[in-house]
Amino acid sequence: MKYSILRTSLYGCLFIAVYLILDRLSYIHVTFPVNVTPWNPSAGIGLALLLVYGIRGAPLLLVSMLAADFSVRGWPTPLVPTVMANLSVVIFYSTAAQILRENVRIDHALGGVRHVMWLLGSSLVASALSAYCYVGVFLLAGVLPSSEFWSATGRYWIGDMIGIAVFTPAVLVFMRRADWPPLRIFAEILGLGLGIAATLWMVLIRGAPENFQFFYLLFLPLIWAAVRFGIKGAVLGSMAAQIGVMVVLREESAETVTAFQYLMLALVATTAFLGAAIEERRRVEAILHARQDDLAQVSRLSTAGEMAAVLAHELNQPLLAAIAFTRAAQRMLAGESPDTPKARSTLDRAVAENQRAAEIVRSLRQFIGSGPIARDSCSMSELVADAMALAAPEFSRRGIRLSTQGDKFLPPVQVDRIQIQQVLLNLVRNAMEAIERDGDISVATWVLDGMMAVQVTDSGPGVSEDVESRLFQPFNTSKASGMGLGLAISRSFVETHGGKLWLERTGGGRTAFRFTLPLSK
Amino acid sequence: MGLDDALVHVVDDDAAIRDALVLLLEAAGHRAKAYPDAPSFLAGLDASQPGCVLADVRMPGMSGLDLQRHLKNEGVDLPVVIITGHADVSMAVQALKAGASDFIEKPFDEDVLLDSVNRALDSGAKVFLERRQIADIQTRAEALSPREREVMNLVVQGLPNKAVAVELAISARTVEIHRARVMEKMGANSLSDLVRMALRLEEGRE
Repeated sequence: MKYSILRTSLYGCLFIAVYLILDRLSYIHVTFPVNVTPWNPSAGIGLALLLVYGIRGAPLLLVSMLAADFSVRGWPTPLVPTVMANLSVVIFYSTAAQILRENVRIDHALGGVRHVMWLLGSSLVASALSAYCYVGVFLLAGVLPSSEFWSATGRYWIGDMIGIAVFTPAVLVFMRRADWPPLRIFAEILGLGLGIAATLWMVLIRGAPENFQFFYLLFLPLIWAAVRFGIKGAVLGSMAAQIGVMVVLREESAETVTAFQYLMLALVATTAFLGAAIEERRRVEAILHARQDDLAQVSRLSTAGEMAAVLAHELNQPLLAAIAFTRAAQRMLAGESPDTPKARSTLDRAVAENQRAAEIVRSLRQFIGSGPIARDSCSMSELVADAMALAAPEFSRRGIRLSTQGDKFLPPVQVDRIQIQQVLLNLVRNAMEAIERDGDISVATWVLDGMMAVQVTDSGPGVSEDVESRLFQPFNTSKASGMGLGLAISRSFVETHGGKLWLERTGGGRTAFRFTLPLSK
Repeated sequence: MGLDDALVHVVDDDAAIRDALVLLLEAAGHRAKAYPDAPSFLAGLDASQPGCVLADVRMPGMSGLDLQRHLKNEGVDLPVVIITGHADVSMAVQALKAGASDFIEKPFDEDVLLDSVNRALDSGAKVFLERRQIADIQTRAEALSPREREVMNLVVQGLPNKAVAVELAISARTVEIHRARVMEKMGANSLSDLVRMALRLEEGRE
């Protein structure tokens, strides 16, 4: 407890120190007696503080702002309006941060366009309101002349906004454990930095700062950064560009800097959106990859029948050896002069072979998972879609149409994804093999008596009553190839989930297999 | 080397199965030898020895079917019994078509194995005896003089002595003497006996 208080106060002091340094560095281009400057990075880290620590960070921010007014500006304005102006700013930003935290649930890694939009959008509103109130308070207090109201408000707004657009994403993104890029791309990052510097030189030194004809060149290195390194590249690049701009423009008039900051805001916002979009795409790609791996695992088992063939071969080996050892031992013991020691060692080897067989059965059981199985909450329509995707190539080859039916909004099921995909795949393949060529299969999903029901219906020749009675018995098959284990294993999978699998008698000569699964709690 | 030396060659990559089959065959009174793969069996093979081969159809490298094909191409007429797993029945059919003596499906009991091995050894023994007879006839035929062989070739075609004499431009009396020598050297009791031997010789040459 003591330790955590100590740590909290240490972090607090650290924040105030950083805040003061940033405030001091950005306290240039001052035209008003109050803290209204065309760039305000301290607002950026202030909002970041509120986003990370919530409303608890608000007092610290207020203290930091007052400390900056005191130390950086030597307390130029009366106490009451200064406190009130700063308090209004803190209230607006805290409210924005609270909305972002609680309602939007903003992703601190900004891994999506939506999150960047909410961050920039709400800070746009919060900084505008802050600017209005901050400047308004000093106007009422008589510190500012009313003629300066709109220009001071505009400058305050753009200063805070650009500070937030550049620094808040940077703090948020890098506060999460930054995984540093491998060495080989440091060269590229260096190149990027040089690119930004060169562009800045083109934009601001070769072209005169007051005409902005080269400004759009800055988009190039920042787009590069965003495309290559996602949101991290975007925020770092933006920060580098913004700091570079401020270094170059430190001698320019406040008007020029202010005008420039509007352009910078457009640039930084564009870069952030692009970075977030790239990030989003990468994440989707990663999910896609993971899903494909899952599917690969399913197709590794492909059908339970193939697995059973492998199993049969593996089991035959030790069984054959055990039989032969035992028979040999019997013969050694028979006759006039039984060779007991040799028979004993031969029987030992027979036992070892039996144990080898038992080991295979044990590992198979783990493989199929009649032990503890991993059950996740899965979307049934996704499971169906995955199985369809696996079977699709064979379907089109055989000219079989496949359709899915059912509610779009189904509750999730609590299942082992791999096993249920296996069941679906097996039923669909059976249907396909029953049809042989040119027909249709439909997979329907719906909720029935508090369970998820799935039905695979095909236009095949149907199941005779004789076959039906033996349908779920292992090693019973009507197919030329296969072990006749598919339905038996499928039923066992469904039953370990607490569901049922059966042949549904439907009219019209169609064959339908139906199974049920429990819904997620 | 006699039939009692008949050897069962067990070729299987599974050490346990290999050892178990050899133990069982030996306990049943056979001579048996194990090899972990086809090449090591082929390396030590004495084609003149009677016996049979018991080979697993599934082996890394050279499969049982490959081994059977190889023996056939090399003119080794050891009967081959193929051991198959459950899913390899189509391979077994292939093996039978290619001339395998038999195939047995894993896991099998001793009677199946011993029946199959005995049958293979019997047919191997027949082949062995056949081959030994041909070898005998060949040895005897080699003792014939060139003229005697000419006489034999014509006689077994069914030509009478006189025709043979005309064909070879010698007297009928000389043909008669040569013919008696041929019968004696070949150990033939009758003309039909000699004809059978001549046919065997032809077969052996093919």
